[in-house]
Amino acid sequence: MRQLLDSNLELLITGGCLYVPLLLDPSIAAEWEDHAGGAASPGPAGRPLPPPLRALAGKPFVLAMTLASLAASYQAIHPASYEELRRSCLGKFPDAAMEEDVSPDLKLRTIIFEILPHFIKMKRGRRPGKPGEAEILEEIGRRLGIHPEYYRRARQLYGPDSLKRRLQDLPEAPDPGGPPEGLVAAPDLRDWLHRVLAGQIIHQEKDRLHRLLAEGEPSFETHWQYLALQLYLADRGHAEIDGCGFFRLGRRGEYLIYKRTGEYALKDYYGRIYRFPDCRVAVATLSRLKPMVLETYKHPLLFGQKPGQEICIRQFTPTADFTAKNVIQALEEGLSALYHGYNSRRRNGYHSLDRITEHHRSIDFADYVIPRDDPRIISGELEVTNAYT
Amino acid sequence: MDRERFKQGRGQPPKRPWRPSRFTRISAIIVAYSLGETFWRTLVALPESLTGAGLGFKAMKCKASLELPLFALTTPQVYELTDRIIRKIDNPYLDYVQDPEEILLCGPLFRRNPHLGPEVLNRFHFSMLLGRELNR
Repeated sequence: MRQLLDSNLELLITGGCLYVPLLLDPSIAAEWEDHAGGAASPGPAGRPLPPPLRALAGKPFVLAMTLASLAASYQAIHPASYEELRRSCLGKFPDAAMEEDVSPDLKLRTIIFEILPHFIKMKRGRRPGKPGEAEILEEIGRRLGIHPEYYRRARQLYGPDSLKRRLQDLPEAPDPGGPPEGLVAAPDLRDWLHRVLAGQIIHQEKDRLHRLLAEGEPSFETHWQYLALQLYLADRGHAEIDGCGFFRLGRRGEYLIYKRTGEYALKDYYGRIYRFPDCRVAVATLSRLKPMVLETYKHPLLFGQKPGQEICIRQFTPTADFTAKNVIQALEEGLSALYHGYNSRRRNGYHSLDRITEHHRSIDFADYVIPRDDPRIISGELEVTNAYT
Repeated sequence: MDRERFKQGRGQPPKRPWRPSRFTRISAIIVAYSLGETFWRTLVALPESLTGAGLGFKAMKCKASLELPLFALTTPQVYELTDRIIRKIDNPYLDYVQDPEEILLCGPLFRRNPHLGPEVLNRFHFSMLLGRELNR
């Protein structure tokens, strides 16, 4: 859709319907000759459907969508573009802009409410079942030790008075004017669509503020907790609970989510034990969700020792689709590869733990060897994660 | 299962390898070489019987390489020009052209010798083939 709106095509708009230029081949051309000038056909609900093909100045056009559905579904089709438009639209009003700076984006919401709860241990004695948003925020606030000052600032920023002031400051939604008619250049349609969306955004913001004020003081509690966490993150830049954490990357709205491996041990072909130090297995929301290690680290399934190396995992196709399920799966695949991926008999991976030949090797694990009767191994504190091989 | 399938297949015409259509080929050449009305005027002005004088056919010329799409969807302008060319040069050699020059020489070559096989047409440039026919 964005490609169409950013193109230099001439589009036909008539009766609130958008027609795009029809491309031809012999069969389409034959169909075009049969249907040219076709009248409206009755739709499923008895309403007449607009004719699928139209001609103007000798050019054929085909029905693509109605302008109403374009405006209604733009947010679902291009969430990033809509969010940008929303920021630029509400950014014109000072109070709204202040909240926007710390308002959670969709990715952060997913991280806080879906990914972190999967890895962190909730407090004992809670009711079984999936924790609610308020419970998660309370637990995160408690574990991170968020200073009361953040809550005070959140109350100031999100109190009834500030909401009322913000509501007053919001202007009336601008009138986008009627939809264009006839042959329209794509950029002109884009400008009209942006005006319509700006009106929608202001309406939605007003509805949201009215709803919040109507719900009253108790409903603000969750928002305050959320905002306090946001303010904390804006100051600190990262958060970590139970070895699972995240931090914001340079680009706005992009994050690096990680889980620590903790110390673990692997055994080689001869049964010698190697102690591997803690490292962070991470995925970045910027691109494909491919697990990597953040530290300078060596492991049979890592090619070198540099930080940021991708972990060699078989039968795992990373996806670029950012969902909680995909992130959790990618992190667990990465952890599982480090813990259980090396088979001491097959010596799989880029390197083997034991020396196969006396030739020089770039990665040597001799410094990781610990005795088999190491107290941590015997006590079970340090687990040999590939003991089954 | 396989036996039944083979039995059902008996008597059916053999499957032919898929080839892009004539329309796809000509429209691809038009788009690749940005052909327009000038090319059409040249094609129309080409005399019915070429004598070879002044045409300067090379003894050896390679077929141009042409990346054909699986199918073509064209703008009305390209469609109209493609349709005109196909109607004007309505002969089977048009299925083997690879560049605008071969489109121009397709008609004269077919009139001189309509019995050239697909291997020859696929392998040799039409200017070479027409030069050979004119020298006979």
